[in-house]
Amino acid sequence: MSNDFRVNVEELISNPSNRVPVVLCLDASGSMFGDPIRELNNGIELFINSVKEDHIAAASVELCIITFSDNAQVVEDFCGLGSVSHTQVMSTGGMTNLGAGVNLALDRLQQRKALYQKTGVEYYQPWLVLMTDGVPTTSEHIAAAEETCRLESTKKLVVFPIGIGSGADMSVLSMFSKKRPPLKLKGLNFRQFFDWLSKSVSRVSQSMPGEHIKIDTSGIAAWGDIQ
Amino acid sequence: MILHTYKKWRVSGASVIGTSHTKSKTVCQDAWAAYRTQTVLSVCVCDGAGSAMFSDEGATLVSKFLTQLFADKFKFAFYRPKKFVRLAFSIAKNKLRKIAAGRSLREFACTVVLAAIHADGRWLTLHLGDGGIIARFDENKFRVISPPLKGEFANETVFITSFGASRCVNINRSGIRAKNLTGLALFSDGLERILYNHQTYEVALAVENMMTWQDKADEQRISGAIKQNITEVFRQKTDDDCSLIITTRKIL
Repeated sequence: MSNDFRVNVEELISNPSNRVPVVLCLDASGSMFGDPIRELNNGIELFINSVKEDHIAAASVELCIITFSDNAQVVEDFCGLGSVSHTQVMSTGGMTNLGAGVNLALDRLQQRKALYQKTGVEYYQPWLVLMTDGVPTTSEHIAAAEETCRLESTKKLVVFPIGIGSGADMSVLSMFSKKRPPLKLKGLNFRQFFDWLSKSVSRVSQSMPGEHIKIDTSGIAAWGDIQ
Repeated sequence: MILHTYKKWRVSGASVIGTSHTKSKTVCQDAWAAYRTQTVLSVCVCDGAGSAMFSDEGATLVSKFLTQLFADKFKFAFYRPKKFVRLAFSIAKNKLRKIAAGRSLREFACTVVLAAIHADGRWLTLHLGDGGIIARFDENKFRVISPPLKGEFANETVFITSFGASRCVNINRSGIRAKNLTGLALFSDGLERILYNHQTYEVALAVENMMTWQDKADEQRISGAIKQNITEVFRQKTDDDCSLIITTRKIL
């Protein structure tokens, strides 16, 4: 090509990649102590490493980790996977304030979306992964569940409610999503779950406008049961 | 009729398949078209929806049909744009239904990025969905005059087959005595992220550069150069199908 009609790659603009915000809202109450929390942490590590292997997803997925017990706290605020520093969730003991966890997750998501809008960064529907092994000990979750359902019905949020072990109250988890029934983790198959999650989120990060993303339901059998 | 301004408008363009579509063995779903009458030049880029099976056919039909219609009926389009777009989309959808032959109209979904320029200096742009239009005014004033029309999320947009599409368009019109438009770049969403800054709306140097090419060679050669640049340079930064039309007139 003649140099007269050649564009240099430096003459193009580099806008940031489209983002996929993912919040993990995790139960860290006393009952998660021991094997459950250890397997959960292994699963989170695996999720981060699997997504990193896909270069488009690695540049797109932003992760926020929130835990809840007596109160909710942000373990890792939204950041790219290369910058995640706290992947280890600790069981802090205490009760299961599920509602506080979900409310904090929704607040953080709202703030992140505002930042994207302010800085001209495009983004996909946020994902909220909610995992608990117990029964909520406050009533805060009722209003929080109404809010997640409202966001879900207006296509502003994708919610995955997951129960861990036989103690998880699946009827409470079902309140958080009208579209997707809560799934029960088979044993402590966190690794299989996070492997599935990383593949699903990679598909979203590579979708084109107008493309309807179907969640890979066939892969769920490896880690979960529909109740 | 003053034709001297119109005669100087020249058009080049190209549609190139994205690497993601090459990998998945799908076809290029973008199409572009240009049409001239004695007094009007009309150009259009259409991007077929990724999830629609025959959107390449939709994009080809819609781009050809709308360029011809806007050139032939420029006066109506310029003075009654909303009514005109409603009618134009309705006829386009009927044409799509004919080639669909019973298949769902949704499978032919595509976006529309169109411009029509009259010999007397008036111009009109029509934009539905993603992609966009950058204009050059006078010698070197570049402006994004029609940014992508999207929903809140990156994979949401509107297509000609969407319900109420004609109400979702962005229409720009010049003044009646406008003379200062000297160039337009119409592009599909594959090039959105590299041709202008989404926060500041600063236009890429590449666009400024490409708008000087028409003065140096014929339209066909420039179309070849656009195609080659998309293939060799632009695709380093995007894996989607890419379409670009550059139309400019000599700056007097």
